[in-house]
Amino acid sequence: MNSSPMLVQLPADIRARVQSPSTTLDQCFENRTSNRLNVLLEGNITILSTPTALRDNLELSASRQNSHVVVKDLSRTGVGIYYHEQLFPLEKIQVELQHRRLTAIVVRCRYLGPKCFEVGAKVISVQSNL
Amino acid sequence: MSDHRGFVPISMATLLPSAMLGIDVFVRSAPGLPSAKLFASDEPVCESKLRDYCNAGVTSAFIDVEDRHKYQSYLQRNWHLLLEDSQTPLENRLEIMGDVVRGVIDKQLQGGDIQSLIKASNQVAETAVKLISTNEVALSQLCAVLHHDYGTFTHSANVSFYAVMLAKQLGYDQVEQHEVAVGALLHDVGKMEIDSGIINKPGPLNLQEMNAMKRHPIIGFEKLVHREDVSFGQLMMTYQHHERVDGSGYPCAIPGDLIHPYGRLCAIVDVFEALTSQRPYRKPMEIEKAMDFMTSKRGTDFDADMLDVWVELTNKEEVNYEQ
Repeated sequence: MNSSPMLVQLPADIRARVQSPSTTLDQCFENRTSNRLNVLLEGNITILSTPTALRDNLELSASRQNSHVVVKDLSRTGVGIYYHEQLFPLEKIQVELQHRRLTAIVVRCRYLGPKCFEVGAKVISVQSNL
Repeated sequence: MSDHRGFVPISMATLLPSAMLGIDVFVRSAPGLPSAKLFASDEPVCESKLRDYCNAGVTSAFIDVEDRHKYQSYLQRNWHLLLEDSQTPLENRLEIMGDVVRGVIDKQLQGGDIQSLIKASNQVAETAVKLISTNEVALSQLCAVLHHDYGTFTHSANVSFYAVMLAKQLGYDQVEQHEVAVGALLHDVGKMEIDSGIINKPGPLNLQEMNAMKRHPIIGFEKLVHREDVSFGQLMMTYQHHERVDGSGYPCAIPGDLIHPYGRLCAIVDVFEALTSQRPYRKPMEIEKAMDFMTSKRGTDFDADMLDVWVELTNKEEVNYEQ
């Protein structure tokens, strides 16, 4: 896992905000079904599939594949990550962290700064005890 | 949008002599006066009668709102005849094109079938590009003949025409203009999934409604992203037309250099169309005021270079009018 490069660059305010892990009770505001646990974990990401209309047009550089990622939060149904490039809805990703492998579908992506996008994905399967 | 209860306006230029429309056509001698029947549904359009009214300066007739779909079918059967008649003044042909495209998009959006919508969009885009690209069309000339009611289909049709004009002015070739025209027709396809109560709300949206509305670029993206017949640029027109170059837009809040050129182009013509069209809670803005407003957002909301070209189009029109 540690052989992949870490390309994401967290803005200072974001870095400060994610320093102390805590449970967030934000489902009232964000229409969430499950509470999220704020974390700051390094993981590894693989983009498993990209929809048709994007496939031939995105410059899927090596850096967009198999790189390090910062996992921002976790819930029963979703995962939030910081990634260094824009991901698009319906892209299928795999995130490996702490002996677990999450497969998820991107649902949103927000620009936070150069080489930093906040990506929200819906978890569709979890493999534990890797 | 009904002109008054139960009737919708149509252009007199769309009535072909001897054609059987199968619907009653009415005229009104003055605003507010009741309409009189011009042609009955079981009679052909009488050429001399039509000419008399046109010579008297009558440009609009009316049909029953219930007959709108029959009228659209008539237009779709005859639009080649109407548009390719070089005797028909350019304004009338633009008006007919507006009516046809609006009707086609309306029908396809109501049907909710993406396959048919894309096919129809490609057909009508071809006409739009042909007409706008091969004629010296002024922005105000086009704006004057388009409908400006509050409907997604009207909006998409108008945005498409403006997009072709801007693309042409930016030096895009006809293939790119066609691509942009189709992309513009599809840019609000995500609104098909938004509650019609929100879409048609006669007033500003509350926070919850606004959040629902802000999902339409993502919904549209998801509808189109698996299709082989949609290009990346067209997809980005749907996904990025609410992004702003200073990063204040949605859904991703990406800065201008990450927004696809078609997305930046679509943002300009989308806002221009919205400003110059009727809303349930405000009147359409005049072109000059709309341009002043948009110029105040140059480099923050809109790509500075593209907006300058859009402004050029307005200036160009003024020269034409003086001539």
